[in-house]
Amino acid sequence: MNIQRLSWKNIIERPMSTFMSLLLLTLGVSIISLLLILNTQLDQTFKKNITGIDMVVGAKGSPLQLILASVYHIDNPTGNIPLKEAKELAAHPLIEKAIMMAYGDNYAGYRILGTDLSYIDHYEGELMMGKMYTKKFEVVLGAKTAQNLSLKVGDEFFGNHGSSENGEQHTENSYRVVGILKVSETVLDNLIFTQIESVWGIHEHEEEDSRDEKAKDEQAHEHEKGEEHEQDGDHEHEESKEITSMLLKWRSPMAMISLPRMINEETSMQAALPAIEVNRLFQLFAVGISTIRLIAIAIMVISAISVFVSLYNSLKDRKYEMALMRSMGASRGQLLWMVLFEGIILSVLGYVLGIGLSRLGIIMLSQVFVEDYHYELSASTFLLEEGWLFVISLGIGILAALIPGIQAFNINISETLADG
Amino acid sequence: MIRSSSLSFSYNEQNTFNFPDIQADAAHPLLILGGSGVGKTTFLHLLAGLLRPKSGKIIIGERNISSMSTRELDKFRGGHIGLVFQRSHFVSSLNVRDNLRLSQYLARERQNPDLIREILERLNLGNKLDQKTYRLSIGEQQRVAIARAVLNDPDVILADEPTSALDDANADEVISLLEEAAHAARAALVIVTHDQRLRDRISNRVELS
Repeated sequence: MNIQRLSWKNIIERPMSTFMSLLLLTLGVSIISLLLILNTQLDQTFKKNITGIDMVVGAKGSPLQLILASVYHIDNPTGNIPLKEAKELAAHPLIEKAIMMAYGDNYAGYRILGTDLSYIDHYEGELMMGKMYTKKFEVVLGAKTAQNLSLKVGDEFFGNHGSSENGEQHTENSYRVVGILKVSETVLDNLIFTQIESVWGIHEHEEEDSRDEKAKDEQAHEHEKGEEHEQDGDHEHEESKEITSMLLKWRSPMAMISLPRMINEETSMQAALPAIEVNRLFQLFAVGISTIRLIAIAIMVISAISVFVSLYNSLKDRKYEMALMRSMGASRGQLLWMVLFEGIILSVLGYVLGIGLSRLGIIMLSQVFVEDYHYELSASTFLLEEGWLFVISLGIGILAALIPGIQAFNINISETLADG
Repeated sequence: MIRSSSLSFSYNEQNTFNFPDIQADAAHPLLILGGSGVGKTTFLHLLAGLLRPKSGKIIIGERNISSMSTRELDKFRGGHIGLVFQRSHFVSSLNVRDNLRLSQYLARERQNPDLIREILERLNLGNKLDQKTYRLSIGEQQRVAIARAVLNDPDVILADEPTSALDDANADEVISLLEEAAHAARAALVIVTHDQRLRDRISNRVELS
């Protein structure tokens, strides 16, 4: 028997108020920890994937949607832009690097991105096995795509139209896996890469059909186009070819002043700046996050009050007990420590349970994220801020126990025993 | 052995208690009798070092406890004074065994489960070790309190109205047990009470008035 053991026994002797205090502490800690982890990991992911991309050009529409679609691959594209215009812009003297992207298809929910190898280079993707694509309909898989779809080099599959896996299947041409990338912890991991020509190739027939319907009077012209389709890669064909968007890196910051405005006003395309859009997105999040944070802080404060009330009440009942302990040789310090330690036990338990609960929450959220966005959250990280959260929890426990503890310290033995 | 001389105490200016000198040892238990309001409990708390006297001396064993610091007194009480109260109180979150172990711990004695078992068996409580104290009858509680009072081999056992809540049979038993236990521990026994039933049990008496 010792004081710490006695504190523990006292706590489990009053299960209901202990449960209440623990519940509140656990909730407060877990919500704050969950917010910290979400905020940090989303921030990291969002910032990591825009490094080196100064501007994105795509069809007119919502700039945020353009960024979400072209950089993070989690929204639908705003539309298509003419290849010709894109090429002209890419040749602009203020542009250092331009990566063209075209998509339209997916396989089992994983987007098939038509682009050149500079896209993979941009995110420093490296091959784990196989080789990079060199021909139409050859594809390279991101690490998680390959893993989750159990695809290996040499496998073949048909793409589905659009970004939903329920889209119509293109059965004319199959894709063949020629390479698989290493894990990069960037957007590369969850994509399927192929040449832009593959995307065009797949959709040739459809374009032809729709054009047939739209422009019946242009039959002669249409016929000509059809011929061109057969001899793919023809120079004149570029007139009508389209891509989805283009990632750009400026040669100098000067470009920021003139280029976006020029593009938005003088072309059929729109320019969006990832840094600005991501900030806008985080500002939208921030309102929600700070609301939830306030609620969590309120819960922590209530938990402190609950610990205080629980100890204070039990102390009234145990006043005689404490005088008795003094008569049995306990020092004032021992009684103070007994009460403080009860507060410490509650706060440490509440913290441990809260961190456990937040990890459980992250694992569950991660499943939703993976399903919807192919984005995984890590539950195994421990943030420095969570260390601070421990100090705060401990502080709450000690603070709440301090007043009852001081009362125990100052108890009048004789008076209390005589009243009993 | 316990001895007091010219002890006085006051709660305030108007109200001063002067207590008779007393003496008790293992061979001579002492009964302090008195009605309510004459300062019986105050006297006992003085003897136990729970209150500070205004003047006078209390000697337990060879030590004068009236000159000790609070810290020294806490320490001394645990090892040298066994207390039994009218209504036994225990630490309610602990069972009988742990209450006694706590007593050993607070007195800075070695925690000795064998000794605890032995004493409880002697008091016919061998099967109550794992019970919570509030589940015991009042008679049983009083016996556990006696066990706790003698556990640390005290120099003196001070009992405050140990029998007044009990019926005749139980009162008789508790007094016998107290005497036996004090005798076995070679401790001086001092009982403070208004219970006239005890008058004939102990020949060495002091009346407070």
